[in-house]
Parts: sequence; structure tokens; C-alpha cells
Amino acid sequence: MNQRLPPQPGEWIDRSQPISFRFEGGDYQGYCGDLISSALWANGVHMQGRSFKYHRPRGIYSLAGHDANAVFEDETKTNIRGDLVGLRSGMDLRAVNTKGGLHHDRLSIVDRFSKLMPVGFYYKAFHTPRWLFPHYEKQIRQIAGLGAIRAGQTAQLTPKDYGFCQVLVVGAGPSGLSAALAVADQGVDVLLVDEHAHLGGSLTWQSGGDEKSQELCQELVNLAQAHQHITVRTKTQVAGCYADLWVALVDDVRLTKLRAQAMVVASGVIEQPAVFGNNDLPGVMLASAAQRLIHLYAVKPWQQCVALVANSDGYRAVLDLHRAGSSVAAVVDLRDDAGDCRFAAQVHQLGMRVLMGSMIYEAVPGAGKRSIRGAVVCPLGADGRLRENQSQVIDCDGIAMSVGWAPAGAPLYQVGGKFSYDTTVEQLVPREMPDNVFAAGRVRGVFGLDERLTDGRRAGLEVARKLGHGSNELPEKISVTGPAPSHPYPVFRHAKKKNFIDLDEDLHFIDLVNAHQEGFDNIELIKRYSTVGMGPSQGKIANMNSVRVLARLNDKSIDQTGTTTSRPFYQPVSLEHLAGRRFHPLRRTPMHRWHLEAHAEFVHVGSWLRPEYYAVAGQDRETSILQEASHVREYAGLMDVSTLGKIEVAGPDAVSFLERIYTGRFAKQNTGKLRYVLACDEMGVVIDDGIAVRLSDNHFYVTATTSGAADFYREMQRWALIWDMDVQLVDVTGHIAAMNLAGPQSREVLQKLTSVDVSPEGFPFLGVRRGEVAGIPASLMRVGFVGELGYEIHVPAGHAAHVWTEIMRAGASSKIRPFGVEAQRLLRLEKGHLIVGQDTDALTNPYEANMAWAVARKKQFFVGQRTLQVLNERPLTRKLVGVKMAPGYRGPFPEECHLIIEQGEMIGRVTSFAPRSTLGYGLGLVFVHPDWSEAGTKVCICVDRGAKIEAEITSTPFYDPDDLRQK
Amino acid sequence: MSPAIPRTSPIEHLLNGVTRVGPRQTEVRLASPWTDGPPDNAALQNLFLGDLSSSTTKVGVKGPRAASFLESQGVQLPAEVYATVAYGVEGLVAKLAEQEFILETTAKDRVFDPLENGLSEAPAGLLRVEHQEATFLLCGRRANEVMSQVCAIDMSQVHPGTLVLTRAAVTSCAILREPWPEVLAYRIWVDASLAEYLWETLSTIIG
Repeated sequence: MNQRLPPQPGEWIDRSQPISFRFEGGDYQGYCGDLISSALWANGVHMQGRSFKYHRPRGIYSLAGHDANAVFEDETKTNIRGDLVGLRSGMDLRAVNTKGGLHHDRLSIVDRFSKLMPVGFYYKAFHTPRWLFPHYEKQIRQIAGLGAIRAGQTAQLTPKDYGFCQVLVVGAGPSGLSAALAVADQGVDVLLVDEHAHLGGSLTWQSGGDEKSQELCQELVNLAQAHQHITVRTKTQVAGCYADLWVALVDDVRLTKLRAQAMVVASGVIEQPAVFGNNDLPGVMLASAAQRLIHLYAVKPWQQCVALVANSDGYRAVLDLHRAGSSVAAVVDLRDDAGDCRFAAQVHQLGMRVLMGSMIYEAVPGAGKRSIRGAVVCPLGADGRLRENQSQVIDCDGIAMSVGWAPAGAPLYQVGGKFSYDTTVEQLVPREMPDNVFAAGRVRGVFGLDERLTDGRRAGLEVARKLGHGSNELPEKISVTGPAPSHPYPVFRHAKKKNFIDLDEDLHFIDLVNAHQEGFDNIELIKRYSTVGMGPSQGKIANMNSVRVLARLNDKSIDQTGTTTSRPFYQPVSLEHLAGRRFHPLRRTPMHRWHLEAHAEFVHVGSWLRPEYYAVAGQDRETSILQEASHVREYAGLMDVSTLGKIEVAGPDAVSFLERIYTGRFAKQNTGKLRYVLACDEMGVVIDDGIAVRLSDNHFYVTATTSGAADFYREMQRWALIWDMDVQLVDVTGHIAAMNLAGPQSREVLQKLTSVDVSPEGFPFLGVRRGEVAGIPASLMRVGFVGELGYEIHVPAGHAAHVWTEIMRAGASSKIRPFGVEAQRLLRLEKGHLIVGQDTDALTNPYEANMAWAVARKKQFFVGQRTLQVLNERPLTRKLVGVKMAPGYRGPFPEECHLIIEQGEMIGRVTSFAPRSTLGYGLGLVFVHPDWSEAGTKVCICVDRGAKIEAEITSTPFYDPDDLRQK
Repeated sequence: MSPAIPRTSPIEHLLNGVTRVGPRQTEVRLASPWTDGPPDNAALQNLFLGDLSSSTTKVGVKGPRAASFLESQGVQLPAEVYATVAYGVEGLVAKLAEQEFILETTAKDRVFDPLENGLSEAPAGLLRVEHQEATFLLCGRRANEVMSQVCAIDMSQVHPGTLVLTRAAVTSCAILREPWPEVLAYRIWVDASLAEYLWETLSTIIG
């Protein structure tokens, strides 16, 4: 059935661009500019989804982005909102939350058992036995819900951005347009945002045959679009407002973090439903939804309908329906008197049947509840109750509801605005607002068109004045007057049928009554117990009625009852919008490209990418690592250590500063010498280590661990400020690259590239020299971390690749090879050197780690000294020692964090372990209780799958205990 | 330090060899999408990302005597922190703090030589600071669209010639809005180790 109307003035669809799409296996046609839901309705598809809990058929309800039951999915996305998302060619959609399709949803049987599932039933029914609850939960989640996440889909990157404006105007209806123009005319830059595709707000769909309002709309839109100080963003939601007018704007492709200097909220109102039996079935919709169908999408809502009204807007909708060719079988007015309403007068002139003081008792369902075929109408008694014995059935295929509005006040609430209930308009209106935030139009309870224009202009001038523009004279503030556009209580109990308060969560009137009876008599409590307002629409067409119901149950006013807290987001925002481009900075050394070409396998260390090892064709990882290590022992190896933290410390207080930061002494350190340094925190916990080079009396160059460097540098800065020391700190980590040339052949290799005397006498162990290497100024340091003759070569990052390449070239005859992080870890392990963070944890002190030699206890002060003094008086509770496997051992090997168990007690754990070493046996470092730390002690290590293996505690270093090779 | 061997850009491997004289005289190296040759002026006026890392050189001077030392070398200094003044051949001096300056000029410019000589003596109160940041140039009328996707600062409101220490794509950067009347341009200094990441991020955004 084609329900498309002839072209309508101002329609949003483009008839020159027809679109084909599929829904639930059927082929349909729509137009560019259609919403999914409007296109379906135009094709006669009224049942567009199933409800959350009872799987009841649902159709269009608001067509304003609040329909949580017309939700679809395709092969790539889920939870596609039918009344928000535009139709695109080739869409192949199906409804979410069904088993067997929309028409044959097997879960629709749940509706028959709804009496067994009152609100909160799962709290009461499934609490024992507790172990079964996960099973119940799983089943409930399969039955109720929305779309399923498509885990296999490729993540989409979105261009999240930052925005800035002087004045943000939210809503481009008559009030918003008027406000934007008023501000912009003062020379202030305005960002005008509207969630719809076109400007004009309610003027675009709430016509009632008023051509003047349409002309006015076009005039305002033209002025705004042409104004040099106005930038327009359509199809953009103000998704959230935060402190200091930080506003989240969301459109189809991006989330914008906007910072506004001031904001005018002219977001209008959201039409609210009446509550009667079967008020959820396809065919029952808000009058504004019907008007949107007619004016924006040229779709005829129904053949014959009944209009339930309680305001002049309802009569205007009746006129729109009449002009669109929908027969209005009756106008049912909740009020006894329509007042001085020109639209009502026109309806009477057309001779339509008007039933004053009446209410719809229930919608009569069609087959399968997939449509309606009538409305049961009852008069209201003087007591406001329905006279059910005087009911009559009026045939119709649709019911339009126009009984009231609620402010779309989320932006105001979220910036801290306060609302109070105004009985003149039977609506919540803003009472207090933060500085630089203003409201205008219907959100403020101002409904007349002329009044809205004036109100918007006043808000615009007010905000301009606030920002120092324009004159001090403002138009008088509009006072709202009657008759009220909203009915104070459009809610009626039904003895049998479900009369829904919240369509998102399938909550009907009796659910709230039951929750109240159980003691949930506070609006925040009843929300959490019943979940009212917690669905995808966040209660936009449910909250006001639930507040009215609770107020009546408590016999309190709306203000006394209060409202729930409005939190971002206004509409569901996809995770891809929130994630944006997903920035994950990775640091690369200047030699990264060289490593890549040498087939390096990389490992993440902190924010750095480091070569773990260099892959050799036909060789496994472990063999490659062992070969790299063996090569260093035998010939020469070159390792990229650019990732080490590198910090310059200079100034008159440099020595004093380092004496306080580190556990060691520096006062007597000679210029041109380096020494090992260890840093602790106030608790005496080891936090970093490295070397300190004395470049001159007041100038040091220190290194820090790769992953701890940034934190340690911050810590140094913090202490420098606290101690108020005259010291300059510069983090040159990224500016200086470093490489470790190690192995017995390293001296020979280096000498080819430098004029520095690198002989044992000319450049002894722990010495530092300045000179050129391969033509590049460099700092050379004699170090021995891997236990061999070795040099660290520090050069400017921009020349590091050149130096690296030249060293590799010069070392070719010495069989030089690059070695990676894993080979280095093995080599240092053989020397018994710990790695901070690997062999220490968040509680390790130097005494436990065999680092007492690095602590100058007689110093006046250093960070952690007092704690270490106390700890030194106490017996150790654990000790870092070596452990090794018997040569030829062929069983499972320990890994880091495997526990050492003796007599059922945990006495230690493994911190590092290498199953294969250049020494021919597996070895590692372990923390053990001191009673078990003697060399030669056999300990039992629990490895994977519960296996227990025996290992022997040993002294360290395993390799070259007399340190002859590194010197 | 002024080695004869040219500095290698940290994104050397990402550049496609297309070079041109940029908005000014300094050689700017470009990346895709111009794989077939230099873009025309219209394209450059619209948007491009260029690398100046290998064609520029920097040095930092820090300490209580930094200002007096630089002035004694004939270097004109900015009055305010984060302000810049022209220096050498298309170079600049930026004041990072009351006692800290950074100088950048073209690699071919020998203006650093006397400075380096003075700094190498390491006088008290003066610290030479190594600066090996990559230098990128984001240029064109659409540059702000790119900046808005990576940086929380409203760069369009930054006064030309002002240096902004901020974060771009969650990396710490110094961004200078160039005081060039003919084209909107931002000079971006980023740690060399993060240069490839930032270049790829900006390139992706530019598309």
C-alpha cells in the first residue's frame, strides 16, 4: 500500500532521487531525504519493530528521534534508529530483538505471560540458588534487549574534532533563529545547531494551513544562512553539555568537542503521549509524528483516525490530517472547553465530530496486534474518571495524540539549570540558569509564534550584551499565559490492557503503581527499580508522565516530586564517535627503519617500539636470541639503546640535587667518569636506575629506564621545585640516540671510527669521553651491563642512523651483529644484573635486591633514606638470588611469576628466567625467603599446569664473577 | 655542533622524494599524494603537509645567562614568553621560558657556528640544550580543519608569530602560527621519536 502523498510545500524528500532498499526480506522504494521509518510507513509497513521486553509490535511513535522500538540492523551495524537515520540506497535492514524475524517473532509469546513478569520480577524470582543466576541472566538477556554487537566488523575511524564559538544557539526553530540573528547582528559569531536536516523547527511541520508561518520560516532561514556571523550545522545533536560550556556535538560522522563562550537554548519541546489501553500498538502515534509524516516526508499517516487532544496544537494537527486526506472520525478532547482556539473553530466549521470531556479508553487491536482497528472512547465524569459504561467504539486505523509537551531541556539541566513546574502552562520551565546560558521559546513555556520570535530576539540581545556587544536596552521578557498547552494528567488506568508509560522499557501504568506500593516512592528510586526512563530514548516521552503518576500516588506536587537527573548523552552516541581516530602514539628510534630492514621483530616497551630480536630465516625465536647473545660474548654486537631516558642536570645545585635524588654519592665523582645510580621513593622502594655522567663540576648527564623515564623526569622536576634548588633539568631522551657496542671485538670496531683513544689505558672502565664517531660529535661511555667490554655511544638523534650504519660497516670484519632486547636481557641475567620493574616490584627495597652497596647510608639526606634506615634494622623477608637448572635438564622451565613452594608455603617467586643461556643451562633470578637463599639450596618451583620442578639457588653473577671481561 | 654530514629526517623513509621551495625559501619535502611531482600552487594554497626536518637545525640555550649570552652574540630576542622573532635565513628565535630560548634556522645557514663555539666552553649559568625535534609545516587555507582534529587549542585565534606548547594527537608539540600573510601555515615541532606517528596521523587526516 503506497501512502505517499503528492508533493507537499517544503517537503524534505527529493523525489528526483528514488532509493531502493530492503526490510525483513522485502523490497521497497523511498526517496533521498526519507528517514528509514518514514519510507517504511510510506510503503505501508506500520509494524517496524518489537518491543524490548514483551516483543509487542511497534511502529512510528514520535518520529523525532525518540522511537526506541523502530530499531534496525544490517550486516555491519546494529541499533540503527529508524526515526533518526536517513534512508540510503541499498540498505538491507531487519528489526533487532526478534527470533525468527519481525513477523514471526517466536519471542512474542512473552507478551502472554506478562502477568508473571511484573517490574523487578527477576530480583525476586532468581535470587536463589545464587549459582543459577548467571544462567537466568543469560536467558533474560537473550529474550530482552536491543541489537547484537557485530564483533567481526572492522573498526571505523571517525574524525572527532574540537570546535570553538562565541555563541552556541541550540535549536533552529523560530526562537533559535530569532536569537541567532539578534546575536549575529551585533557582530558576534554564532554557531547555530539543529538536530534535523533542515532549519525551521516546528514551523516546518506544524502548519495547520498557516501559509504565513511557512513564509516567515523561509525568511528566517534565508537570513540565517546568509548571515556572515552565523555558521549553521544541521543533523547535529547537542549530545552533552559540561562545565564551562564544553559541549559535545554529534553528527553522522563525528563528535565535536565544542567550547562556547555563551549558549542560547531554544531546543523546544517534546510531545508527550497519553496513557490508555494498547497505547503502544502500530497506528497509535503522537500528533507531531503524523504532522512530520505529512509535511516533511509527504506520507499519509492513516486512512481514518481518531485524534485525542488537550490543546490547540491538537486541533492544528487535525487540520493537517484533514488536508492530507486522512479522515478524522472523531476529535476526542480531554477538556470540557477548547477555549478561544482558532484551530478548534476551523475544525468545528469543517463539521468534524468533536467529543469534549472524553478520553480514549483503549485502542482496539487488529490481527496480531500489528495494527489498530478502532478506538474505545469514554466520557469523563466530573471526578475525572472514565465512564466506561458509556463507551463507544469508533472505527479507525490510527490514533493521533496531542495532549501536552515536555521541555527538551537537557542542555539546560546538564549545565546546572534549575526547573520548576508552571501550572499556567502545565510544564516544567527553567527557573535558574548559569551565567552565559539563556533559554528561549517553548523550552521556556512560550508557545505563541510571535511571542517565540520576541523571546528569541530578547535572548539573543541578552547574550550579546553579556559578551559586551549591543545596547543595554532589551525587549520586555515574555510572560507565559494560558490556556495550558499540556494536560496536567493524561494518564488513565485500564483494568486489563497494557497502558504504557515507557515504551523503551515496556513499563505500563501498573508497574509504577506496584513499584510505589513496594516503597519506591522517590523519583530516583522508582527510576532505578522500574527502569523507567533508562531506555535508548532516556525517558523523553516517558519521564514526564512517570513524574505525574508518582506525584499523584504520593499526593504531592510536581515540584515536590522532582525529576530525575539529566545526564549526557541526549541520544545514544556510538562508540566509534567517542573513540574518534584512536590516537596511540608510538615512539620509534632513529634506527627503526634499519631494524625493519634487518628483519627485527619488535616489542612494545613503554611507549617505544624496540627490536626484540632479529629474525633469521628458518630459525626459531629462542635460537635467534641465543645466537645474538653468543655473538656478543664471542665477537661484537650493537644494540639500539636510544629508548633509555636521558636527562641533563646542570646548575650550582646539581650535585646536591643528585645526592638527594639518588642513593649514591656524587660530590667526589670525577669529571669524565660515570657511575651506577639507584633511585628510591619515600617508602624506600626502588623506582629507577641508570648511570650518571659528570660532564663538568655542575653539569651531569643521567640515564633512566626506558619505561620509567617519563615518570622519573617528572619526579625530578617535582623535587627540584619542592626543594627550591638552583638546577636546570632537561629531558633529552628523544633528542639523543644511543647505541651499545659490546663484545671483545668492540674496541677494535670503535677505534676505526674515532680519534678518541679507546685503549684500556686511555679509556678505562666507567670512563667517559667526548669525540667524533663517524664524523658525528658523540659521548662515549665505558659500560658493562651485558658483562663484556662495551661502549655506549650517544649522538644527536638526527645523525644516529648514520653512526649506526657506519659502526655496522666498520664491524663487518669483526663479525658484528645487531642484538635485541631479549639477547640483552639474557646477557645481563648471566651477569646477575637486575632490571628495575622486571626483577623489582612496587615493594622492593635495595636491601632485598642485593643493592645495599649502592646506598650511601651516611649521606645527609636522600629520598627514601629514613625508610631504608628503618628497614636496615629489620631482618629481610625476601632476597633476590640466582637460580639455575641442572645442565641437560629437559623438563618444563620456569617463567616469570612462577611460585616457589616449600612444605605447602609460598617462599618466593621467579622474576626473570632464561631457559637457554650461553652457559649451557637455564638460569634466572628469584625472590626467596632468606632461609632458602643460601647457594646450593634446592627449591621447588611450580610451573604451568601444576608441575613442580627442582632448581638450585646460586650466587650471582653466573658469568665472569670477577668482572674481568667488561674491564 | 655542525657536522658536515646532513641530518636525517626521522620520517625520511616516508618522503617520496618530491621537494620544492615552500612558501618561503626553505626546502620543503612533501609526501603523498604528490607522488608524480610537485603540486601546483593551487594545491599548496589548499592544504599540504611538508617536512623541514632535514633542512633545518635547532639549538637551545637555557639558564640565567641565556639571554645575555644570546644578546652578546647579536641575537635579537623576543620580549614575551612564547613570542618569536626572525633569525638568520628564514629562522626564528622563540622564548620558551624566562631563561630558555630555542633557535631554528636552515641547515645551510652558518649562523649557529659562533653560538656553538661560545656554548662549547660551557660557561656557568648557560646550558646548551640539544634540540632534535622534527619540523613539519602544515600549510593552506584548510589547515585549521586538520588542527581541529588533533589539537584542543583554537589555533585560528592564535596570534601569528606566537608559539603554542600543546598536544597534537596526544603528543607534546610546539606549534607556531607562521606570520606569513600569503598563506595560513603552522610550523610543528615534535619529538623526533614521535615524528613518524604524528606525520602518519596528520597524513591520514589530510587524506
